[in-house]
Amino acid sequence: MSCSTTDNDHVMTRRRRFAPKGICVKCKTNRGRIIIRHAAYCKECFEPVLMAKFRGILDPTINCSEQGLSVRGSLQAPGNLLIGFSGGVGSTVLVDLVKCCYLAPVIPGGPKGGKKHPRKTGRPWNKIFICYIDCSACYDVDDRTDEVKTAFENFDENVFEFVPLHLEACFENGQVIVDLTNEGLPLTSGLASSSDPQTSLKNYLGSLPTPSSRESSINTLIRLLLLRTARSRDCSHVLMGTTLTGLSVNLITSVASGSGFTVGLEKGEDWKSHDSQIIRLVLPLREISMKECAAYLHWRNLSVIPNRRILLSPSLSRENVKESIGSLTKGFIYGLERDYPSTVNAIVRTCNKLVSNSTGHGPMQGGIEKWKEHISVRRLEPDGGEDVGRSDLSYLAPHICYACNTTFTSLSSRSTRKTGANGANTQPILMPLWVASNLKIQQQQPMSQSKMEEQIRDFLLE
Amino acid sequence: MPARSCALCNKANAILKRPKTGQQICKQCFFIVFETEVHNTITNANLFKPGDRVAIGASGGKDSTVLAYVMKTLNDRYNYGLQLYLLSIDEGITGYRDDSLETVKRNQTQYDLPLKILSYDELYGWTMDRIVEQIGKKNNCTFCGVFRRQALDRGASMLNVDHIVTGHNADDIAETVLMNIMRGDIARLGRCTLICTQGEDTIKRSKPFKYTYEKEIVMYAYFKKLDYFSTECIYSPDAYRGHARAFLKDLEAARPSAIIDIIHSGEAFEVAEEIKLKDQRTCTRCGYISSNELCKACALLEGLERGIAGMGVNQYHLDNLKQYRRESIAQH
Repeated sequence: MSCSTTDNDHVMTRRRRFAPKGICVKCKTNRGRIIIRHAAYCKECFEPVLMAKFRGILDPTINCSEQGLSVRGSLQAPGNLLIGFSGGVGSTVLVDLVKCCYLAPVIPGGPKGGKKHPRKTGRPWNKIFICYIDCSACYDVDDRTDEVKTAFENFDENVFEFVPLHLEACFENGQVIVDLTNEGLPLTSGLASSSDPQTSLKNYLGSLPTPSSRESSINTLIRLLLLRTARSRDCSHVLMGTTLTGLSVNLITSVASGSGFTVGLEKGEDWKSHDSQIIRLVLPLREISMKECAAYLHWRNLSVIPNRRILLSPSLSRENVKESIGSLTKGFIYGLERDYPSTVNAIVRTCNKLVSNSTGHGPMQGGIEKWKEHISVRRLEPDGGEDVGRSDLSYLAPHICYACNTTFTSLSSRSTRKTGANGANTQPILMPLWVASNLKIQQQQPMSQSKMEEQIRDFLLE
Repeated sequence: MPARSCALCNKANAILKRPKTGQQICKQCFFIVFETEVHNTITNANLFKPGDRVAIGASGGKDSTVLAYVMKTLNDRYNYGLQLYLLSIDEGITGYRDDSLETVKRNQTQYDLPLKILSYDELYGWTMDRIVEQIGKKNNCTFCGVFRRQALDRGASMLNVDHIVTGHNADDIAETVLMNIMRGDIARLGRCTLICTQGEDTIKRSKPFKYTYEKEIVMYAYFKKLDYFSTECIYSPDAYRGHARAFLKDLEAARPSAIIDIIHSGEAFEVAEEIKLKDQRTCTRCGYISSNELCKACALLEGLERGIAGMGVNQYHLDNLKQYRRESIAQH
């Protein structure tokens, strides 16, 4: 309906960039060295500004009350801290900022610092774990744990404890096996083809229909593995190095993948485990752009581990990755950040004002299949309430959200699903280990009045 | 290579692959599923009641032509009991709208529906040709969009209809969701996925093609051999929308369900209660609903009349306009 065009000439033209001219907007004396959203900062002022932004986000979340805390009080978290570390720009800056802001070393004869100096306030966390999750099995590349461990040695080993993990740990002792070729996702009683976690991970990713599904699944597995590791180590906080730019990418990717109901959780969440322990996932760099992180790294002489995702396996080739929603969004947002830096900030601010609409397709999102059936008819005969019949534990579909349903079932003409001789992957697929416990918990939930009524309807006289 | 049989009826040969589901189906099954999906959208949202007078916003383009055809077909098939009208707006774009209006006139005869044409010239005293002459091609879509919305409402009042249906399709809506997120328009983001909107004193507006892919609309028009006008507007298209559209097309190529997934996301979130949105008021000049003292159309018109190009396009100019008016009142 709208005026539209396919002519690239009409697409927004690139704006002229600002050159770092003039004096620093903060000290008003030194020459500006970096432009952050149209304002120039000198090197000396840049670091304190960045640290203030970082602390402004993290401080109020440390004392785990729901209302946050008065920043005047002492910072004391109820548990330990786990930092997700990939060796990339964001996580390297994150570890360094945690070290500088909360764990300042004692320098004999050095400056005393103010009232809030870490030396006077004490450590907010007893132990700090740095967790690296190796995803080499997803891409058929070499394990980089040793390389990351060497990089980790640049940080203070007495302060941080290194926790290396492998993504395939998500499939150790998994119990639920699902047929992903059926849209209802029936649980099968057959055995998975392999009990080896690494093979299970590869089979799981190989059975997903699109590169977008694989990418989002890997991100979900990493997030949940970090949270579960945090729980096993009595952590109250998990920090991730997602920058403002990365958060914008995640938000648009979420929206494009049907995760609109969780868009408010992308900036951080209070994850409640089955034993009611609350773990706070915080993204303290969520107001710091990738450009600021890069400048910080450069000026503090920190090194990062080069991203080797370009060395991909044939099953997840570079071409396929380019075709995933996440990669397309990344390219789009990075372009926006370069030419229209305010847009990236606008995306995050807009999404911060959104909440899940519980009256519509709320987090539980019942009736997804019925909704899909109405908007895209896939069979000529009306489907008589198949959704209701699938509400027991023989199908996975009624127990997952819209985005996960899309991940497992949404096809593309360029499907990456590994097919068997008869054209379909009929091999039962092992689900991550927490699927079994989540299904059990859903089963234990009290039955609703309407469900009870449905079961006894024939015997009611009125 | 042997022809595949239709995935739905298993009888006829499949001749197309549905962009929405990826199923390979025959022409007849495509017509059935296309029309059934639009019917499902209408009935699930309870858009109409018997006896409603409904105006179809007709531009002569593919969306509105298919909409007029499908609305007439469904009205007859399912006995909706609607009185349908075609309502066209003549923006006054020589070489574009005059040609497309000829298509609408042919559709009037083909579908046997009454037609009402309203022009910007008679409503506002301006044509788009003259507006572009004054302000240039930049931002002219802002004028056209704002004027068209109000013109449709005014035309609907003249026809005394209860409801306007427009041919906005799933691609348009998904694109609007992305655009509103990127430009931080929280008020529009909250309502852009609604299938039916109604302001105070205005007529209901609905989008029966909310879940219909643009490609399938083109397919439907192609196989039904519908008569539509396919030229793009001669004035510069909305560059920002073009940017979002190009991105959306990439997403659709990566995963065809991305369009529906974006709409689903838009339906699943809402603006947090603590976020204050502007209250709706009435325009002091024309009485149309507005969130400011002047409605957007009047602000743009006043800028045009005073020969101040670009006035009313953004808040800065709107504030200048208010200041200017206050000073004029004080002088008198």
